[in-house]
Amino acid sequence: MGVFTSAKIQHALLKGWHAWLAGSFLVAYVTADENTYAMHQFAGYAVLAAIVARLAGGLLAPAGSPLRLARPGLKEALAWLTSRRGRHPLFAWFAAALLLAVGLAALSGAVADSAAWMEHPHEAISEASLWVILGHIAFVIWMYAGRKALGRAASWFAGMRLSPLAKDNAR
Amino acid sequence: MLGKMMVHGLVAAILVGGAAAVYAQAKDSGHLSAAPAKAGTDDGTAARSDNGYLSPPNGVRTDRDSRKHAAGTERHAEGREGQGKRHDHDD
Repeated sequence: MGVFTSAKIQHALLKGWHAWLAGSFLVAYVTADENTYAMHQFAGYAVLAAIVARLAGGLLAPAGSPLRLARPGLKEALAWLTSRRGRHPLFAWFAAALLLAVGLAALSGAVADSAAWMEHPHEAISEASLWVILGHIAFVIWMYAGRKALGRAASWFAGMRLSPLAKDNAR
Repeated sequence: MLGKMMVHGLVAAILVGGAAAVYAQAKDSGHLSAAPAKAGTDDGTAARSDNGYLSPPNGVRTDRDSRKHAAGTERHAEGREGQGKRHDHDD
């Protein structure tokens, strides 16, 4: 257990878990067809196992560990909006929404295995969870790459506009 | 960072997909069935046994008893004999 206390290892575990969940969900979504039902079933249970493992890890991890589950709060979100400092609160909100949506999709799928009436709710929840995932991807891309790209584009545009002025000054 | 995570996700998808395909194949060929399937019923949903073939209803082969198919072939063979003669004559 001592190995898991290292922050580096915990981050690696988190990344591995993220890949496990993303890969399993992708396979489950792609194979959601009658012809590939066994594959869909396998991938769905892999998603469910990933969610259960994450919840267990989040509950067992010590305070301050990156494995701890992020708890979204309205107070924290309002405080961030006024100060604009610290981690964006949408990270925690998205994490909770994803765990809930993907967890419900996997759980409803497991129930639909024995109860046919659950098939339609399972489909609806899965479609909704896909949109939450896409929102999460868009948000992360925006936070890590989009803002930088926008900053670069803005500086390039400003440079273009300033260049005639610079030429005039040189004369 | 983002690109790396996407690659990790795709690698995981390939691994899970491969394992799922193996699982599906094993399930399809009957390696994962817990117990041999029961003989099918007459409602057209005959259960599969472990060898991958459909089991006859109640474990009894009805085609041999009814002899409908066999009788049909005999009649067909008789008919062909006559036809064959005619064909020979034509040639």
